Amino acid sequence: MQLAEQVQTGFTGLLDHPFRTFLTMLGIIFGVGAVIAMVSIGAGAEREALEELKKFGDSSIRVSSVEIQGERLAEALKKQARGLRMTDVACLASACPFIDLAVAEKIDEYSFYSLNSEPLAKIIGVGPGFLQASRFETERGRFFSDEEQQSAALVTVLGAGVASEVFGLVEPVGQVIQIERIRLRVIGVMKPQGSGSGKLAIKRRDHDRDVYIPVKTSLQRLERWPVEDKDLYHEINSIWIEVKEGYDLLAARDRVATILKRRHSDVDDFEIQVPLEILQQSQKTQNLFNLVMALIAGISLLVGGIGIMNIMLASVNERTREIGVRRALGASKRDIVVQFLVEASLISILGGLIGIFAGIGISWLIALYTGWTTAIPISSVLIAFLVSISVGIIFGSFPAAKASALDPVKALRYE
Amino acid sequence: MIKTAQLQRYFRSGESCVKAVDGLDIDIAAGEFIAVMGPSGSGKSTLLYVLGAMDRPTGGQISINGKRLDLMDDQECSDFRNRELGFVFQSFHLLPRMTLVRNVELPMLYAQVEAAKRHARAVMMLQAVGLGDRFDHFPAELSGGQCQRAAIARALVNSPALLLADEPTGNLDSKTGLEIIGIFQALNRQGMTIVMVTHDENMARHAGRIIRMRDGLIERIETVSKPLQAVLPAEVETSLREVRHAAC
Ligand SMILES: Nc1ncnc2c1ncn2[C@@H]1O[C@H](COP(=O)(O)OP(=O)(O)OP(=O)(O)O)[C@@H](O)[C@H]1O
Ligand SMILES: [Mg+2]
Repeated sequence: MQLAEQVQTGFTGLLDHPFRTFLTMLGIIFGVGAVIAMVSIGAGAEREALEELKKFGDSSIRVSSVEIQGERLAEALKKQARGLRMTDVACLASACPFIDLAVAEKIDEYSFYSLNSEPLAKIIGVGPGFLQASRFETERGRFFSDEEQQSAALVTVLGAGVASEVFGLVEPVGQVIQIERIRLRVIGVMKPQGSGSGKLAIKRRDHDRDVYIPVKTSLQRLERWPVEDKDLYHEINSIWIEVKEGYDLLAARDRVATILKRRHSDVDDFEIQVPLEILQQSQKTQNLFNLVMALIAGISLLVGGIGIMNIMLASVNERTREIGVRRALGASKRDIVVQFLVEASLISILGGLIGIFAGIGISWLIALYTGWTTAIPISSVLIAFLVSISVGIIFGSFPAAKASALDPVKALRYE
Repeated sequence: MIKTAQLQRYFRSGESCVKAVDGLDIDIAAGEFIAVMGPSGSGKSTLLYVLGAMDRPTGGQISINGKRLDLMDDQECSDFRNRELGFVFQSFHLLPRMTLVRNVELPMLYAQVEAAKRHARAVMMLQAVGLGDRFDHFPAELSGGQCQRAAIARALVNSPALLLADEPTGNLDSKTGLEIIGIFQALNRQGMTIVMVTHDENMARHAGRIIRMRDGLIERIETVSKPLQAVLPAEVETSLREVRHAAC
């Protein structure tokens, strides 16, 4: 008998007891559904992390200043430490052959004035090479030239959000903004970045609200009103380092740490992050999560499979006479085996399919109500499907073997 | 057609051994209509199942159409049952959850006949036994006589040369029973070999020979000098002939 016929026969068999069939499927539905949903959360987090990493690059190291105060500050000052400075940037760039770029970043918060509005914004002083290190791009106009960097020119490039907020439909390039008492000419606008939700533990801000100026302009021309000593300690907030291709990122990190530590007289006033490493760590956590999921999936599918076996055994018992009749009409042992295997597999495949759709639905609901990113990898759907088929075949084979081993005459005479 | 030598079927369970069929030598020619009679437990059904390749003999030889059933494996037995013989049972053994036409299609399903042909042939077969308007009914919706005619249609659908019937009229009143016997006689006239177990002397008198069994042995074999003729509408006989020819 052909498989298509067997499948049709199998459906007829299942439809004899639709409710029973559905109950039997539930085990598989729950198992597959839960796994698809859980995997989608994990895969979503991973995809987000990867996108995050793409923004930072897989060859970057980030040095950030750490605020110190009180006794530790006093002690640091006694040791002649002076925080993260422009000289650190220059020193790293000249001392480390593996460094492609080292870019200073100075962050201040000011209100600036332009076109009748006075928004609060992060004023970011950035050194030469920032565009390359950050992988950001300008949408209109241009970024700072080396000339402008060197001469602490009074120019600025606006983040997309700030630009549209202040200027709306007016062309920002060529306009002037005023911060305190200095007036800066807008020479460019950045492409919108979008704010990452920051699953990865990398410090990020909303770059669309940045207002960029050359770092020298920031350090030499912006007026600051320090309140305490600690406000004066660090000259700059962070250094973006790009490591040349072919160098080991972690070794580079260690080297940078050693140099800075020495320059900072062993004061712990900075921290170093390697986005790639953070991603790898999050992947390790992810793997553990996946393992636990696989275990849960395995257990629920085992339970589902036992349910299928149980029902199939009952079905074989119930249909002993039918088996005898089919044998009398010419069904071979193989035909009977296939008949019951197909029936068991239909239960598990249908359960698996429903489970896959349920899982996709749940993952969608999770994304809707929690705002998490979820993703359904094709591989998880395929694996769920294959596992469903296997569960049917594995747990159906014992009842099927039992059915085919029945003595035809006894089966026929069975009351 | 059927030839057995010292055919045995013993049932052993622990110490006891039931000799259901105990060394039978039977010789049945093609085209014969044989009735098997005997008291309950004399081994008639057991003999029939062995002849039908449903059960294996525990001793002796059996050949049907030149094929040695005692030497065939399970797959060969299944094919043999499927293609070379038809079974008719006392309790019809139609599958209750299938319509008549699907029931009749079953043997063709196992013979790999394609769907459209299968359906057409099943409907034709049902028409021949007078159930043309009932093909999409379920067995529970039919009378005993109608069920048995459907079962005959199912037995004939793969055009076997041999029909085995175990008390086919046992669940029917005598008038309906005679209708069934009428169909058997018509098939027999068209060359079909038939072996029918029965408890009813009157039914047996419609066959050409009667094998009388007792305790697994043949008590005697008698030739019926003038078999009774069951009345059968002429059109049933012609339509039966037509469908059987159409099959070949
Ligand atoms: N599977 C079996 N195991 C043990 N004994 C069996 C088995 N099948 C049949 N028998 C025995 O074989 C003997 C013959 O049984 P069988 O069914 O062939 O009789 P029968 O002539 O058809 O009787 P009836 O007219 O009541 O149908 C009986 O004694 C029965 O108990
Ligand atoms: Mg019997």
